[in-house]
Parts: sequence; C-alpha cells; structure tokens
Amino acid sequence: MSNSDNEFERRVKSALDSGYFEPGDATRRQLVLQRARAFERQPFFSRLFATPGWVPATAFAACAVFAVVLFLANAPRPAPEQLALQDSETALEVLFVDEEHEEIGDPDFYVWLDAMLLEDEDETDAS
Amino acid sequence: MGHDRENEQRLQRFLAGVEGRAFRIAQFATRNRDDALELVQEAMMKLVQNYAGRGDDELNALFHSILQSRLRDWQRRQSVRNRFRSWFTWDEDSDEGDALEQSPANSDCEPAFRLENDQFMHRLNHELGELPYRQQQVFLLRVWEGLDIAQTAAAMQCSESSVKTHHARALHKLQEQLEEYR
Repeated sequence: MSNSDNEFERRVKSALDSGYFEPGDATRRQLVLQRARAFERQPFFSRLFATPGWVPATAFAACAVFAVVLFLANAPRPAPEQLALQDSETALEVLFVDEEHEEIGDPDFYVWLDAMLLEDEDETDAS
Repeated sequence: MGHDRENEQRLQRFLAGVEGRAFRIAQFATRNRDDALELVQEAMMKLVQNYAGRGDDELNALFHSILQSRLRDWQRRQSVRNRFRSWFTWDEDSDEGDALEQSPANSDCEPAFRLENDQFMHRLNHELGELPYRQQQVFLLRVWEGLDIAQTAAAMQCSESSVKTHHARALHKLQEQLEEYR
C-alpha cells in the first residue's frame, strides 16, 4: 500500500470517527434501550421462538400434516347410497338370522328338514 | 454472582462503545434504519447470551462476526423477497435525514475548510453506500473497526486473499470518486 493510500485511509478513518457519522439522538436512545434489553433474562419460550430454526421446522411439520390430511380425505370410499343399501341389507339379514336361530333350536325343524330333503330327492329322481 | 456482574459491566462498556459504529455499518449494508437497529439488537443479544465470558481482546472481532452473519442472513432474505416483489420500490429510510445537518459545527475551522470537509463527508457517506456489499463491509471493518485481515476474513467468512482484494478495490474506487477532495 502506497503512502497516498495510507494517507487517504487515515483521512477516511478520521471522517468516519467524526460526529458526522454518529447516529442521531433518537437512534442513540433506541440503541441504549436495545442494549438494556440484551441483558434482560428472556423467558424460555421467547428464547425458543427466537431461534431461527423453528420457522422452517414448523412449516415442514405443517406441510406434512396437511399432506396426510389430504391423503386421507382423498382415499376411496363407497358412495353414500351404496352405504345406505348395505346398511339396510345387513339389518334385514340380522332379522332373518334371528328367526333361523329359533328354528335351529327346535328338534321338529330337523324332522321337517329331512322330510323336505327326501321330497326334493324323490322329485329329482322322478324327473 | 460478582463475576457475572463484572462480566455484565464489561460487556455494557464494550457495547456502549461499539453500538454506534455497528449501527452505521449495518445501515450502510441495509440502507434501512429499522432493519439496521434490529440486526444490531440481535447481535447484541447473541453476544450477551453466548459469549459473555470471552476476553476483551476477542469481543470486537466476535461481535462483528455475529453482526456480519446477521447481515448475510438479511441479504439472503432480502434477495428472496425482492424476487417476489421486484415491482415494489423500497422506501429507504434516511435515518435522521441528511447527516450533513447533524455534523457538529466546528467553530475553530475556517468556513471554507469546514464546507469542504462537510462536502467530503457527505460524498464519503454516499460513496460508501454505493460500494458493492462485500467491498463496503471489508473496508469498514478494516479501516473503521481496525480488524486485521484474519479477523475480517473470519467475520466475512471468506479467505484472507479475498479480504485483501475487496479492500484494495474499495480503496481504489473511493479514491477515484473522491479525487477532487485529495
């Protein structure tokens, strides 16, 4: 670095150190306030949210939850009419099965069943 | 407990001495008073929370490393924002307006000399603001803050040879622009 460079730098430095580049009163007051704030003990949650990483992490988590909700919402489901039909069929079936159970418990039912089966066999033989 | 208090007083003194210059350095980079204040506040908090026990000789370089890191983050955020809001013209805060008006009148100087000096400061203020970001910050850290090449390289997260190049380019540009005042 030449002498003229050094001289120029000295002049710039003395200019920068002069009052011209000092912050104004309002800014100086603000800086004093900020300095005081820097020494205050911060509560845990403020410190947590002050860490720069929480924003992307939260955004990522929110996106993941949204994707899962979207996936579940779009999963194939039977149409409502189909569901209603299925429900009514099931109800009828239950009613029907209840009657059958009563008959199965009655010994006369088996006598009747044998007779019916024999009749069916005879009919098929005859034909 | 007494040690903590001593540390706090030591840091208070350090920050009181550096905060004005730090604010101006941040303001040169951001061209925005509020952003500069916010970045200085963040740097202060980080220094107090994480590096309170460091020695006096380390504090200046450490503080400027933190501030530079905040400035880089700010620049990154700004470039992303600008990509989306390229049509929006930033209303650049001029802080306390024309800094020329704030310069204390030096009654010992001749009026002509004072006028030239004021003009030089005004132009210097303008030309520093016009320098490319890295040249500007390297120049201010080296010349104003008095950091050495290694400390500046650490603060700017670049090599020492880059610091030398940026410094030389900034110096050359300023000399060229302020030729009439030499």
